[in-house]
Amino acid sequence: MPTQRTKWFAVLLVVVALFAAACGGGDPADEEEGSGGGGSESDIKVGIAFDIGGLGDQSFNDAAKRGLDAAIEEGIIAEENTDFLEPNASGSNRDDNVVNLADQGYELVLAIGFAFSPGIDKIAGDYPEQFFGVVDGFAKDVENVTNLGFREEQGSFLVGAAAALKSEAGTIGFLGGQRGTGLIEKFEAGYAAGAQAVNPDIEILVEYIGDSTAAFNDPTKGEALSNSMYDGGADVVYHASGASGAGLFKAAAEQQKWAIGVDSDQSLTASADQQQWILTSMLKRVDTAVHDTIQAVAEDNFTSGFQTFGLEEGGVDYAVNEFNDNDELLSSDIQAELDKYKEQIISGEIEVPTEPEG
Amino acid sequence: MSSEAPATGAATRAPRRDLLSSALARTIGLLGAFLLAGLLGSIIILAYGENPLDVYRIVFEFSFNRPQDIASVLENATPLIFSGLAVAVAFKAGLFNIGVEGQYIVAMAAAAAAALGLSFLPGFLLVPAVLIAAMLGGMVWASVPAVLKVKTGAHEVVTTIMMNGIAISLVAWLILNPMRSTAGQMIDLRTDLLPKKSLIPTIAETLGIESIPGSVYFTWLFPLALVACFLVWVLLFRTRLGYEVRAVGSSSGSAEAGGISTGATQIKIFLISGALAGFVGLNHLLGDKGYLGSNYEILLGFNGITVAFLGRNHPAGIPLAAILIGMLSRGQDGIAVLTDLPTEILIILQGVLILSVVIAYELVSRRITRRRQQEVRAEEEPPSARPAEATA
Repeated sequence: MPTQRTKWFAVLLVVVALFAAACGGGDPADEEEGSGGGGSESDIKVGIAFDIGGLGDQSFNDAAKRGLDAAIEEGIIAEENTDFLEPNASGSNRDDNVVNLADQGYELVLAIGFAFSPGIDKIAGDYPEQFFGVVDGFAKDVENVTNLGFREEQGSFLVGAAAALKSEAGTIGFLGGQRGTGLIEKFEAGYAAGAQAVNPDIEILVEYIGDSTAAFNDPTKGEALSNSMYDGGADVVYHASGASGAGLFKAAAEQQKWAIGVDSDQSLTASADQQQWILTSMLKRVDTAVHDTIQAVAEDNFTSGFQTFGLEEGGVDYAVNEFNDNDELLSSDIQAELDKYKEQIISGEIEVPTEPEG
Repeated sequence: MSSEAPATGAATRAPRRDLLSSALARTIGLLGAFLLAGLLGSIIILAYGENPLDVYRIVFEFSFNRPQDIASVLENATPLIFSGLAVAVAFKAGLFNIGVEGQYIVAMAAAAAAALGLSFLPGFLLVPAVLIAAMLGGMVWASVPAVLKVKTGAHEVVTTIMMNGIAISLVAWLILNPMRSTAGQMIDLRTDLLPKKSLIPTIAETLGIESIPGSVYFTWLFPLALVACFLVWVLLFRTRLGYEVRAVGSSSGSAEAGGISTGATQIKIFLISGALAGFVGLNHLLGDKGYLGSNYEILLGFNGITVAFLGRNHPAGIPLAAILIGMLSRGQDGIAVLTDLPTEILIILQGVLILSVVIAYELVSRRITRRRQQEVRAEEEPPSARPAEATA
């Protein structure tokens, strides 16, 4: 039937015409950006594979991006030579993202999270000329892979000292996530040592949420245990329990007692009524680790194996922000004391234990 | 609806010509659908301020530039062929298996349990045992909605969706409790590593192709998927069960009247669907990871519905559709790496493509039906003009 055929032809024509229009639409102008920056830029390409949560998680991923941005700002690398990929919701394409970045010739691929470790074990060998870094990683010790770890006990020492300095009751608490792996015990040991350095007679209540990884995602139990520690006389509680920590902040706000956050500056992400009870947070400076690793590769100075970032390297710290930098929370006296401890740890005068006593 | 008219000289030749011209019309319709999808996609890409041709070029280059890119596409396609087949065989009997997702998740757990529990077997026995365990896992999970459908009339769409939810929770519990590895003590939730002899090697590894790196898991499951396509074709078009399935699918009432037990046929085909679903997660489990972790690959079952649809539920169309979807997901990687576009753009493109294909199929089949009707009508009239046209 002619009308039918004409209609088809008309549709085809429109399609082709629009297609042609579409092709003319793109502009090469958007290629020209980020040509500023320092003069001594290295031309290495750096790719970051984020973990679940991606940009905007106000935690590890954002911190990694800050490290990358700092490296760009300092002129170590050029912005157009960087890229970052976010995984899907289940994280099942973590490894694919690493492969794709390596495949595109990124000299350094940084994977933000321990969960990348088994994948990196398999991938790194395929790209022997390129470097891989895994934050909190436990990847195999091969020539082109570095695991970026943190001396959590040192940061925990500082917030332990802060807790003891702040405490009026002489009793403080520690809320741990999963017991028995040695990981969270490191936080506990540092925290206790810091508190005892301030006040040798201080009483420290310790509660762990559980023996499985589910302990890192159980705010209800976190809240119950926090309440029991506050009821038991503690007036400051520090947590190292991942998402369970939300329960601590809730309990702190309700009981009007102090809490200490972990990993990132958690008062920045807390609600206003919780914020006023968050004394400080123990910071893992993923940005420092990312920045330093980029710099090392740019300077042809890559270290494989396991690297730890402590106070000396700026890898851990305590958080000071607009909300806690006052006498209600982290007074300047306390900060001065903490900075003294910081120096003593860096100089080696104080050695922070990694395992709890007894 | 058959156009096979009385046995005149013209009519004996007509079916073949009919088949050819309708195949041609379908091809043209499909090409039109692709063009339309490309065009609509272009508008969206333009709205993001990128050049659509660049984006499409990236998708193609990322999919076909090097042997390893092609291998990646086929790696992506492998599970989708199985899930497409699983959806399609059920659909042929008029059943909508939305539960492939849950069936393959349970099957992965069953396969992992078999690989760990039967590790004393030599490899040539262990691999088949693991495959059978996966099939059984999928079948067990499919049997519940199948029986509920036949015995109580509970609609399989509802029951399979609910079984998906149960599967996810069940496997999460298994990984957290009985199957949890004591070695991966950290926050790395998974089973023990499966014995190496239970894993399925990549084709490149077996044949010693060095241009394809070991991180591309294009395994022997891909040829197995093609074999599965052939077997499904034999089942559907060359066996009694296949005939019954198609009869039940096109009209369960007349099938029943013709002496076919609808219920028995539906249960049988649903179990076969579940067995096929059992293979969906195996490339991930036995090709890639080598253990069952808490973040296994998801959505492969749901993507199977797309593949079955694009492949017209036909065992020859499904691998092509799976490769197409595999290409689009490989293209997503390219877009993520090389442009600032959100990768969701290709998911949108996939949706647009499905819609255009629906429209194209509909237009083409209407046109074919109309022409057949005209021809039938023409044949019923004096057949004076026929010979000239028949030779054309």
